[in-house]
Amino acid sequence: MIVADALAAYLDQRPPCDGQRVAGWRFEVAERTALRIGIRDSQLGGPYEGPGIARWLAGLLELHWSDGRLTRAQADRQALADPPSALAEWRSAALVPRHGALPPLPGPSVPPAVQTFDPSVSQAVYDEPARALGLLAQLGEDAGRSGAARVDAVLRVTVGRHAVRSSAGFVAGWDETAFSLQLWADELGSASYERRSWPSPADRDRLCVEATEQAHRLRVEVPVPTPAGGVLFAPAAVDALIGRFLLPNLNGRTIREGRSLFAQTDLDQRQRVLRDDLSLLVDTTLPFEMATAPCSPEGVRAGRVALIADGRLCRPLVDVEESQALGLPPTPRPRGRPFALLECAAPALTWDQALQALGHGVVVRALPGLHTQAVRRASYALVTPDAEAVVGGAVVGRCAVRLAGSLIDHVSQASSRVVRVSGVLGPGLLVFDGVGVTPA
Amino acid sequence: MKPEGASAAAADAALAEARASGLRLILRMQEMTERRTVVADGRVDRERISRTAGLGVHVFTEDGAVGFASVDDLRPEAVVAAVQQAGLLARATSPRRAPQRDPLHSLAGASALGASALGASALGASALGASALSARRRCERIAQPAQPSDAARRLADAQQLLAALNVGADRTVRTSLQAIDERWRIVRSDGCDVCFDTSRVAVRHELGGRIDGRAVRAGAHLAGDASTDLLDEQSAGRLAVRLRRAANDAVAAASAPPPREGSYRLVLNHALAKGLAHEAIGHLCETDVDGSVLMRGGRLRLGEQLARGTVSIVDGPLPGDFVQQPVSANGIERQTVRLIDRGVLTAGLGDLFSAEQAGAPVTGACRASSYRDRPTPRMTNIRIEVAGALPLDADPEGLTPDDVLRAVRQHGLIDRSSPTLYLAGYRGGQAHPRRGDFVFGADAAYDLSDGGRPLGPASFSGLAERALAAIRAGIGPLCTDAIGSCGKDGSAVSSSGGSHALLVLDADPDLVVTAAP
Repeated sequence: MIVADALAAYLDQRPPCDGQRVAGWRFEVAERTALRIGIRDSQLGGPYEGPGIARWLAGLLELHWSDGRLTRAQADRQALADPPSALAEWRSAALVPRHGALPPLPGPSVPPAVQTFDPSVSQAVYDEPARALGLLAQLGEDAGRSGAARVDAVLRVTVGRHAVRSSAGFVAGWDETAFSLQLWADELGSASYERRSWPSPADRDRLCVEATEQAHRLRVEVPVPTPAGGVLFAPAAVDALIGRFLLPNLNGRTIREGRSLFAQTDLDQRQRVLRDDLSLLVDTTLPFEMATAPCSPEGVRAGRVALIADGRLCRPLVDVEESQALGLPPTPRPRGRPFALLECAAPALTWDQALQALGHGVVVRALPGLHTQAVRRASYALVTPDAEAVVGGAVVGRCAVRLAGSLIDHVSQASSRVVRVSGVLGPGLLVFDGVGVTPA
Repeated sequence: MKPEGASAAAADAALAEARASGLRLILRMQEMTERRTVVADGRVDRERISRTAGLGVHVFTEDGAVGFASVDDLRPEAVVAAVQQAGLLARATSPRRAPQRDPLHSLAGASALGASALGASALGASALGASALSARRRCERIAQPAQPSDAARRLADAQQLLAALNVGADRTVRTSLQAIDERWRIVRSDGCDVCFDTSRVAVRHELGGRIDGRAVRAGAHLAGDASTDLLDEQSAGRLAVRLRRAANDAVAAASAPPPREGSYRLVLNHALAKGLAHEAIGHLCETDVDGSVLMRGGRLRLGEQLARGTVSIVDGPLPGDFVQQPVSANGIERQTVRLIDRGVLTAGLGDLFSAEQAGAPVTGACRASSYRDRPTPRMTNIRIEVAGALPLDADPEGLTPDDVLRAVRQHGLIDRSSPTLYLAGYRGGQAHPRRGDFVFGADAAYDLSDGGRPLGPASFSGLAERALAAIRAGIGPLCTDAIGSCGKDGSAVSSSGGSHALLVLDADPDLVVTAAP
C-alpha cells in the first residue's frame, strides 16, 4: 500500500517536533470502499436507501517520542498523505504512558493466514454493483411471495486493504471483504447475515424464511403463558447479554482498577463463574467471520484464547499496554462479531428440541433497553414487547413480557441448556430457573 | 463571502459534472477535528485527536431515482468520479422502481424556503476552505486555553473539588474533555450554497466506587457550543455540584430496597424528561418514520389533542447549546418547531424527502453524523414546556430529594390515591416509534409519599401517548442542557434538551416503574 510505505518511510526518518523526535511507531492504515443499498417499504432505493458508494482512507497511529511520551491518533486521508502537516498536532497530544514505560512495539513476525477475502464480494463492489442490487431485489421479492406485505432491508458490501507496520519490524498486509444484510418483514420479523463472504443460497433462504415466519408468528397477540416455565433466548439475545455483561467485566484494566464485577483475586484464584461445562472464548481465526483478521492494530497475532475455561476465570482481555502491567500476553482483538463464543462441552439442543423442552414459556430474540442496565451487576430487568409465546412446545403468537434475571445466574444454573441454531455461529440459551417472566 | 480553496474547486467540479450528466445534486462537505482528553485520578490517561474531512453527493435523476457517493478526497477528479458513480447507481435502480415524483419539485420547494435567504453571511457562517480558520487552530481555541497540558491540569484541578465525595472502596474519578471543531458546507444544484459551524465542547465527571460489595457509579456533565469555556473555576464548581447530587443518588440507591413494580405519579428530573421528550415523542414526529403511532395512514395526526392544554414540546437549536445546527444537511434553515403546542400535535420534524408525504411542512430537520451518511430528520434540542410552571425554591443544579419533596408538597402534587415517586439520574433509554413504547433507566428512585425514602434504580416504561397525556405540571425554570447521543439508523448525532427542573406525570396503568438491577 503506497500510503503505508510513504508513512513508514517518513516516520523512519525520526522527524523532530517540539524539541523531540519520533523514536518509535506503529500504525494501521486501511483503505475501504463500501457499497450500500436498501429497500424501504418494499421499494428498492429512494432518498434514504438509494444505492451509494463510499471510499475512505483511515489510520490509527501510535508514536513513541524521544522524551518517553506517547501519542495515539486517528488520521484521515489528508494527514496520512501529508504526515508532516499533522506532526505538530500529533505531538500536542503526547502523554506519559499509563504505566510509565512505553509499551513494546511488535517486532518481525508472520501473522497466521486467515480467510478474510471473498473475491465475489470485491467484484460486486468494484465491477458489478448490479449484482448486489439484484440480490437485494430478489430477496425483497421472495419475502413478498412468502407473505410479507412490507419489506425493508439494508445491504452493505465492503472491500478493504489493511496494512499494519511498526518501527520494530512488524509488517502485515491483507485484503478483506464484508457483507452484511438485515431484512425486516412487515416491521415485525427480522433476520440478518454478517460475514466476510457472499451469502450462499441457503443463507439467503434462511434470511427470508426467518424474517417472514417470525412476522407471521408475531401478528397474533396472545396472553403470556402461565405458568411460564422459562425463556428461550435466541442467539442474538445471548450475544447481546454476553456483550453487555461478560466482556466488559473481563477487561483486564477494569478488573485491575476495581471497576469490574470480578476482582483481581477472582482471576488469580481462577474463580468459578460459569457452569463447569461452559467456556467463553475469543477467536479471531474463524474463516470469513467479521471478528477475523491476521492481527490487531497493535500487531497482536490472530488466535483463539479462552477467557473462561471449564467455567473458571482464565485470563482477561488485555491490550499491549495493559499486558505489561498485568504480566500477561495481550489478547487477540476481534474486529467484529463474534466478539466472544460461548461453548458447551455437553450436547446442545436443536431449536426445535429447545421449544419442546420449554413447553410453556417465551422466546426472546431482542432485548430493547439492555444498554440501560448496569454492567457491573450482570443482572437485568427489561420489557420485551415482541416476545413469542410458547404453548405446548409451539409458538402461538406475540406477547409483551417483563424479564428479570442475571446472565451469570443463567449460565450457572444446572438446568440451563445451550441451543444450536443451524447456520448461526453463536448459541441460544434455554433458561428455566432464576428468570422472572411477567406480563408487561 | 465566497468559499475558497479546495472546497470551492470540489463544489464547482461536482456541479459541473452533475449538469453534464443530467443530474440534480446536493453536496455535503464536512471537516471535523475532535480532541478528547481523559484525566483519571489526577493524571492524564488519554489524549487523542481524530480528524475527518470529505464530501458526500446525493444525486437525483429525472425519473426520481436517487444515488449517493462519498469520498474523503477533495481533488476535483475524485469528486467528479463520485458524482459519476452516484449517477450510475441511481440509474441502476430505475428499472426496479416505480417512477417517483420528480425530486426537482422538492428542491425547488426547498429553494423557495431557504436558499435565497441562506447566504453564508446572512447566517454568519464562514467559508469552509483553505483560507478559513484551520480546524487545528479552532480545536486549540476550544480545547486548549493554553496548552494541552494546561487543559489536563485544569481537569485535574476540577477533580480536586470532588475529594469529599464518598462512594466507598475502589474509588475512581475520570474526567473527560471532548472538543469538536466541525464545519459543514452544503451546495445544491438550485444555487443554494451555505456553510455552518457545529463546533461543541463537553466535560464529564464519572465517579465509581463500591459500597458493601455493590458497584456505585455517578456521572455529571457540562456542555455547550464552541464559545463555551468549561474549564474555568465557575464551571468546575458547577460540575462538582452536579456530581455531588448524582453521587448522593447513587449512594442512596446502592443500599436501598428496589421499587415495587407498579404505576405511580412520577416526578422526573430534567435529564429524564429530556429522555422522554427525545425517545418517546420527538422520534415519533420525524416525518421519515412512516409507521409512527403519531401518524394515521402515513400522515401525522396534526390537530389532535394529545396532552393537557398547558403542555408544549419544542425542538430547535438554542444559543450556546451543545447541539447547535442552524442549517439542515439539505441546506435549509433549521426551524424551531412546536411539535406539541398547548397539547395539540401541530408539526413534525420534516425534511425534503418525507415531509410532504407525512402531511407536514419542511422544517429543515435533516441532520447527518458524517459526510458518509444519508441524512434523515433528527432532533436538536428538544424540551417539554409547561405553561404556568410552578416555582421552585431551590437551586436546580444541586436539587436534593428533600428539595423535591418540599416542592411537590408545597404545590399539593403528592398523589393521595397512589404513591408518588421521584426518579433521578438518566441511564439512557430506547423507544419504538411504530409501536409507541419506550423504556428508560433511572439511577435512583425516592418514594415521596413516604418522606422521600430512597429506593434502588428503576426502569420506567410505557406508551408514549399515555406519557404525553399524563404530563401534569412543571416545577422550576427550564433546564435544557441534558445531552446525549442519538443512534437512529446506526448514525450517531449529538442531542440535547430537557424540561423544567422537575416534570410531574400522573399515574397511568400504561406507565410502569420496575426495579432495575
